[in-house]
Amino acid sequence: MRNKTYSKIYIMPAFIIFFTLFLLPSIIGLFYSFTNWNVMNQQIKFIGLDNYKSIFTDKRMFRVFGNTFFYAILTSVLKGFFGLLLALALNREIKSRNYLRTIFFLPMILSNLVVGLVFQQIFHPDTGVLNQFLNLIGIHSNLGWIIDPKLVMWSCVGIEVWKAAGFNMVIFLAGLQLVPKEMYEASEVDGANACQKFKSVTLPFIMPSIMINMLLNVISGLKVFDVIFTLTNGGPGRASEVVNITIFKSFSMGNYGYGTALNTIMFVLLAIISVSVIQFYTKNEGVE
Amino acid sequence: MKKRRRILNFVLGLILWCFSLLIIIPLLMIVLNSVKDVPESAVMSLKLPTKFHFENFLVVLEDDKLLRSFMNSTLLCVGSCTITVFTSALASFVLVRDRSKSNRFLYVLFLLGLVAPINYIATVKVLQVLHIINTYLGAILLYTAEYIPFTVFIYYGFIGSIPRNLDEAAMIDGSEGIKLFFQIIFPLLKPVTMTAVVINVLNCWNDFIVPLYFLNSSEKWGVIMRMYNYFGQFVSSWNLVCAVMIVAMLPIVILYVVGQKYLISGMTAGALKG
Repeated sequence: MRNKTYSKIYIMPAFIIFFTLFLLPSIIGLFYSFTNWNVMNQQIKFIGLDNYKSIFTDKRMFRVFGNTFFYAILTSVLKGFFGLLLALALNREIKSRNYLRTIFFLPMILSNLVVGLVFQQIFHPDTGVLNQFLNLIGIHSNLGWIIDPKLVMWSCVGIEVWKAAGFNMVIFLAGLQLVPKEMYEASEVDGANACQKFKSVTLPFIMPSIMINMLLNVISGLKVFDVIFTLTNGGPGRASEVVNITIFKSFSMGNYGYGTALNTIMFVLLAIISVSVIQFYTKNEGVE
Repeated sequence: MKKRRRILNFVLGLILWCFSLLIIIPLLMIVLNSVKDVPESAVMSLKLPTKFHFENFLVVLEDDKLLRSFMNSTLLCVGSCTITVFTSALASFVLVRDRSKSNRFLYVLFLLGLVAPINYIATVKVLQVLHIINTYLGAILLYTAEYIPFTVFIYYGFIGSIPRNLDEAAMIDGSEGIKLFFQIIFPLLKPVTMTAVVINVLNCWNDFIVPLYFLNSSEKWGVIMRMYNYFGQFVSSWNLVCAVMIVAMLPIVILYVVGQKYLISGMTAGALKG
């Protein structure tokens, strides 16, 4: 009876869909990454590590990976920092805090396409609101936020922080609820100042939230595609190209083997990171 | 001391409201632009329109293609969400109740799906072999495959808190198998189901990667992709583009306001577990 209720058959619908359209393509992709599969030739030939070789010897691909890591790391730190500030402030008894929380989380649910298109306008050097505002408060600026190759990645980072700091805030707020109020009172009796209270009371309790925020931030940073695709499509030149944009470009140009090789590299990279995520999620599992 | 804290909180509140302008202003720009005429909307600014042109929305809504894309988005969301929720809930139930080695392995594979990137190029090949490329069914199943890991994950955490005695009592009453699950367990999962629905619908509605890679025929596009197409077509009439943006985002914003509680609880499910 027990076996019938907890039968493995019930796992199968979910697993088969997930396997066929998620895991299987990754496995097939691994094989294709050793071939010259592209839109031109009829016959797919095994070419060994050539795709990987051409990725790792290409200086421009170096730049693409550099951009991706730059974006992933910088957005992680900034999203975490601003998210924590927002959470600490909105954990206090501010009258309108529920409205403020709703507003700060709002960008998270907006379509990346819309966000990208609107920021294209905001960043416009002459007519954009950003430069106009800077000029208004007396900082003369005609910076080309998304035209200047040196600035463009910073602008992309800025948008992501704008969009997802609220997500970090929500996670931190949940973590802050775990801090017992008495601990604050006790430390106040001991005469601790705000900074000491944060360091010795708050910080240990929100350590898991910091961990998971950073992991999720890095993962989503490495996988970034939509916002940069709409904002610059990797431009100017290839100044803001990240790995997923290169993959899409090689897909549109028909260089399938090359694209799958890039995808496999990302898969391995993220699978390594996922080990720590899975450990995080399953570590309290033993006790039921 | 108390008074000082109250003043501090008041000041903090003011500062936060100032910062919230950073989020409100870009959205306000879309709204203002959507009711301007073409020359005024050429530059996206915070200037008020000289005359409100609400008829922009009529122009946009009369477009058959937009209506069709609305139906498409709805179909893709409802289809993928329904399949995801039922299959994931059922799978999680067995994964939680029978934690054998092989089941734990399957669970870890699901978790890997939370992190690993999708290999879109190779997926094209799989869809071709299955003859579902460029079809609604293919797109729905792709979304389903994409959302199953997260949905399994949140169900898994929740089902663990439902006592096993409940199953046993039901078994004594003669209920078993899939009947037991849908009669006894599934109704208890309502909060997680709501969370899964809100988050998956949000993601599905906003997605444009699947149509970008897999749906060549524009009559199957969802509303976000249609908006992007609009942008290419009417790059000179930003007022219309903005009106489409609002129409495309409105359902999502409503869902957010109504389902905020569920959305937040789903997003923090992972953080609280650690």
